[in-house]
Amino acid sequence: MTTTGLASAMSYRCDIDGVAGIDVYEEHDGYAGVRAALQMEPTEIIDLVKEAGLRGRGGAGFPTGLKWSFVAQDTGKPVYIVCNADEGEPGTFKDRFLMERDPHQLVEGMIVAGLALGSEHGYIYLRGEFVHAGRRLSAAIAQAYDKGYLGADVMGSGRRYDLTLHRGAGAYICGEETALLDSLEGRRGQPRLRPPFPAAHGLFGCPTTVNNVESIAAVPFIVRHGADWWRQWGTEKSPGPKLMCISGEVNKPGNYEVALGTTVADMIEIAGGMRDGHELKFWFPGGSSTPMLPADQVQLDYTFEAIAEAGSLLGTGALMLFSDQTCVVDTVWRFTRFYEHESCGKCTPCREGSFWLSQIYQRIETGSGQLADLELLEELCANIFGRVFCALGDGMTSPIVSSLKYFRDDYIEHIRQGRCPLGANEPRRDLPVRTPGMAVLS
Amino acid sequence: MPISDATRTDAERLVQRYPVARAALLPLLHLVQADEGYVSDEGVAFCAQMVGITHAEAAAVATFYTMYKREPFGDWLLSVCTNPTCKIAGGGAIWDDWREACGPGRIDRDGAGVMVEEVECLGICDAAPVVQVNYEMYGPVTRDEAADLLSKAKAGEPVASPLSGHTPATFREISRELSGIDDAMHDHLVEAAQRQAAAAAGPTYRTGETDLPVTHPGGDPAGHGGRRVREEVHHGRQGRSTAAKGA
Repeated sequence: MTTTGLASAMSYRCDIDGVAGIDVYEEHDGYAGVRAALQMEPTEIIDLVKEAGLRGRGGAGFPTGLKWSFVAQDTGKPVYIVCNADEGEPGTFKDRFLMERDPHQLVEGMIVAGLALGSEHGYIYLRGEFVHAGRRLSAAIAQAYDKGYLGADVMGSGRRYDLTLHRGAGAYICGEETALLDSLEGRRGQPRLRPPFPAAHGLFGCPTTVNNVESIAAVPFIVRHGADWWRQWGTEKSPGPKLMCISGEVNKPGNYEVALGTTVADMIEIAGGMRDGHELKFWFPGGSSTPMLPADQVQLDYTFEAIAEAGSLLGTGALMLFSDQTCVVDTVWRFTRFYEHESCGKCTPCREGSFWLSQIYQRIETGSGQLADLELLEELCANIFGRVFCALGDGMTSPIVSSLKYFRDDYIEHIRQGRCPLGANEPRRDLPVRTPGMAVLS
Repeated sequence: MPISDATRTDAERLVQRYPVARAALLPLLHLVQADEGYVSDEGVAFCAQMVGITHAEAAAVATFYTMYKREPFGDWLLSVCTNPTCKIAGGGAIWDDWREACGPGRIDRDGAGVMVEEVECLGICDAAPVVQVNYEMYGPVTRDEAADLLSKAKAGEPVASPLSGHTPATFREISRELSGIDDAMHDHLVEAAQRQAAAAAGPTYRTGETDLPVTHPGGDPAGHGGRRVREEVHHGRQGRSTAAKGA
């Protein structure tokens, strides 16, 4: 049996005063992961990450070590490490938190990834709106160059590693890895047809790996402490600690580092429980693109396998909790507008479907819906899911299909009453003042 | 308003940092936005010229991303998240208030000039409802506080963010920061880009999908660092002629 509950494996430095500066970072084992990695063969690093069972933290949960082993070597082309720091999945706020609080952790992870893959250059593609994270990362990279962790001779090893901070310009789709590569190359951020996969033909046509911030930040710890250390948390198929973004109608929303395998009910307790007078009604396990689940499923272990068995996805670890006072239909409508706005327009089902879905929600929520609309929604979703270029279109259908499954009566009530029973779009003058969890930065 | 000489110099520096010139396009668009306060047609043409692509292709990029503003509005951009977590915490009402205050055009050019916008999840849901002033974050904010942020911005006296501790820079200043031009690692990146471009099988400018070289008349004019573009810019030639030469 492994440990569950709160963990302090990779976020322990985040609350240390001044750790964004390199001197304080070094005092707290900073860059020890690079030192350890320099003593290892590249394949040893990859094998260790595989053994630890680290699964990608950006949404898909693909094993990081395996992904790295696909990267083509000895092609004569440069190999690129690209960090996906374009965090934008609704409900997700862990990467921004890590980069603002402990930016060197990401820089260190990028260097270790570079050593593992024989890469001399990494790119951090940062979401443009994250200006504070940008400042922190920019300063951290400059300090790492000054101290010789980056540059032509990494810590006197003769190995070269350079790191570019590249800021995006506002597009959720750039979190999709091939859209990110197109964006980084100066194009519209639209996903690419695969194959070829980025491991063979990625940035500038060269072998490339694209990994999430949290995945890369985990690697120095695994290199230093080993696979067993990482596996002390979580389950066989979902090992390790996870940064959980807990938000919604709870008392203490925030980032919490929790062992995978902890129950969702325990996580709600960790976040201070539901707010007074608010009873949990529906929740999203890992962002708006993961199917919602009803309140009676909170005893689920938070693992890739258990959440999948319940018909949803672990996603990014963005646990969004909504109460009986929040309208399910309106919530799904707003998410549908999100996807409508963020659809890149490349493929027809997503571009057209998001528009029509949004129109149907508008009429249901504003009182002119018909019962036939519910079947129409399902039919539209069936024509989008699995028939689109990338995960954005699939994700769009998740909240719709799952809400129709669990809360069909709520839709019917909207249609019967000719209005939103909770008045979700009527003006509210009595807004609550909320207490932030760990949002305060410094 | 013509692109300033200082911006031209900065633009050359940005292009040098990448092994393939076009990769500098997003930073360049932030840079011209810093120069003019928005991305004008002239700014788009300038960026196209710098990386050797057609105006249409640069415009396609400039209009794809929400952070490039295609009309002038002034110094302050206020954004409010209305995704569900923020909406139910008051983001929806804040958006109603701001829209009412600024009118249907969502721009109020009195004083320092403000634009308000409704945005998607800002990645800080634990502080819902969240607003931004020139991308500096605030949350949780009440409706009164949000109204105050708007009026202070209008008066040109923005309030410091309690989350970051920073007082928002003007829209031009923050656009400059977003371009990365003032990041300290310039020399290292130029050296790295030159090494990669010189490799036997170096970075290429290709579409990811077909593995064929891009066939529009631009391509990557300089192989690396926009060297030829740079010379032509100095000789005062136009983007079209640069593009027509190809790689």
